[in-house]
Amino acid sequence: MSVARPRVALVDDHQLFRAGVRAELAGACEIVGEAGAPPEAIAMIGAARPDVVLLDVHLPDGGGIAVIEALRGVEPTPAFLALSVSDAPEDVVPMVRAGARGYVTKTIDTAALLAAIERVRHGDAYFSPRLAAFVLQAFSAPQPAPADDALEQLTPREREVLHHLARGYPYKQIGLRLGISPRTVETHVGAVLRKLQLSSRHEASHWAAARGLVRPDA
Amino acid sequence: MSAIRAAGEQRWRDPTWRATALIGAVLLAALVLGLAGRAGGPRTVALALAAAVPPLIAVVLGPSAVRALRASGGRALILAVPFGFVLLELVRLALLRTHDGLALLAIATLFALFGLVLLGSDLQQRARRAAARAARSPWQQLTTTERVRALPWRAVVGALLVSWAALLTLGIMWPYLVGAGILSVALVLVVSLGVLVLVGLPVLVGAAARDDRERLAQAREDERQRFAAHLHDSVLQTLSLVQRQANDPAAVARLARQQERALRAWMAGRPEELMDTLAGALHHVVEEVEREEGVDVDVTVIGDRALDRAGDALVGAAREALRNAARHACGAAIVVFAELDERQAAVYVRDEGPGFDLAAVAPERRGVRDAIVGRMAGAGGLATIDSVAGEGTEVALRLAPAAGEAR
Repeated sequence: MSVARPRVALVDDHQLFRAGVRAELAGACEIVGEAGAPPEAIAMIGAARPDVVLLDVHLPDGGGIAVIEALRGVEPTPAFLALSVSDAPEDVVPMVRAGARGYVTKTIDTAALLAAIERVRHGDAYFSPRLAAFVLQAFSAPQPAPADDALEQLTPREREVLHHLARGYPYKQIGLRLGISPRTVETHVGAVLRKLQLSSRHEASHWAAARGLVRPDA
Repeated sequence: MSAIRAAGEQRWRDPTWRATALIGAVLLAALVLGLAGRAGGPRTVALALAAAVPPLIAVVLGPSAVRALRASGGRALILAVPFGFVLLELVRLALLRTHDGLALLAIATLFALFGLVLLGSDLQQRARRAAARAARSPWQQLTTTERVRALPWRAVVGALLVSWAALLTLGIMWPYLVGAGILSVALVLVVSLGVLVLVGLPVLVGAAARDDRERLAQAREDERQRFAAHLHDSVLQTLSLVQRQANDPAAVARLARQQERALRAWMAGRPEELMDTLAGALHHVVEEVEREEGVDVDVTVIGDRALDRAGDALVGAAREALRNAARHACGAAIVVFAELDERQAAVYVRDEGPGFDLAAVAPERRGVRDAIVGRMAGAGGLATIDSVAGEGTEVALRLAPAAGEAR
């Protein structure tokens, strides 16, 4: 079953863009559904049960975050891969915090998109160099209150891994440079994703605002 | 029903209408008072008229008459109507037997009204001409000849009419005023001034609000034009370039990418990637190399700092590193990552090309490395080149905190 083609759903309000992605992925993936708005998308994902959902950040009626939040706790949860033309941290990071397992810009080439789909499908995180840079920036921002929560900080090793990702290194080379296995690199990236997504202590908005990722009034 | 109410509300919002209503109420009150107290009845009415009518004419009737006439384009009417009235009233005066003070006062009011219409129209035209003169370019000022008028006939006729009305009013009022003594004259003056303030303030405020609205509309229009001009210079320009190079997919992709980046910077309020910061200069250099070498570069810059001498060296070294990467990457991905703050700066230029053995680089090819390593050293920074055959190359450029600076 694991060698089967990934079942992918597309959620984007631009039909032309969906058509383009469908054509590009046609050989390697099975496109099981498409939607242009959150309500449609929620219904479609519930019915089609894709492995991976390519989810646009900017959608009418609440954006991609609305889709992720509506499907939280619904089994089986698909892996969300955020896809956007935006390269602003205030768009990208909240999406990942809400539950997306990765983020890619719409200018990504097909091979990289397929690699990202494969990675999130197997439960791993996919950090493009740009997302890694943003996350690094978010965790480096001066903290308004003393961070009593270890979950709010990165370990030096995680920081190193993220830094290499931002510089464009693939996992294999990061492993070589840091003297660890690619699998361990993956574990570190997964840990960073979990720290991003944990919101037991603080509301997501507070977290993001405290790090200057969103304006406090937004 | 609701339409009528809406129309009423609309009218009430108009300061001129409010002023008219106010003056009407004052006159009505005076009339009632005059009729109720029989002794000196007509005198009270005359006093009220004397107090209320001048402001009414000055701030309400005059300007509205000017507006109405101008709207109808009735320039001839401006001339014909007052003279028609003058003739008519002269005939009536000839027929009058009894000395009817109120009728004469009404006539004087009409004269004054049309005199003010003429004066107002003259002033408006002067203001318009002055504004047009101010808006002209120096070249237009030199080349445009203005028709010189021998006599401002409108102003003269207007002033004559107003003076005549004033004399007439004074003539009618004189007996009352003489009988009333200095106190009544003072009262008339005070009441007149009071009414003028009451009426004039809302009109002035209304005019200021109207000006504001016009300025706002103008600002919106200016903004739209700025927007249109920007889109024309950027997006439309790129689209036409794309059409012309439609058979070269690489060029089209590059153009689209550059335009996308520029448009996004513009939307984020970063006008044209300011060149006076290090981040702006880095983005600029990336675009330059993308254009020159026909490659795509994935660039992320975190933070920023002012562009100083060391920053210039860093940008120069980054340009060389990027050119190198573009030439040796053979189409593989190029990633630029920069971390900047006021204390330090680091720029990483990485390509996924075949890589090379540093020791094996021929001496005559060192020049390029000197442009990177030497330049950074000269600026008190450091450049490290890290290349593994088959794994790509990374050039790391760092500016350390200044030596004297405390941590």
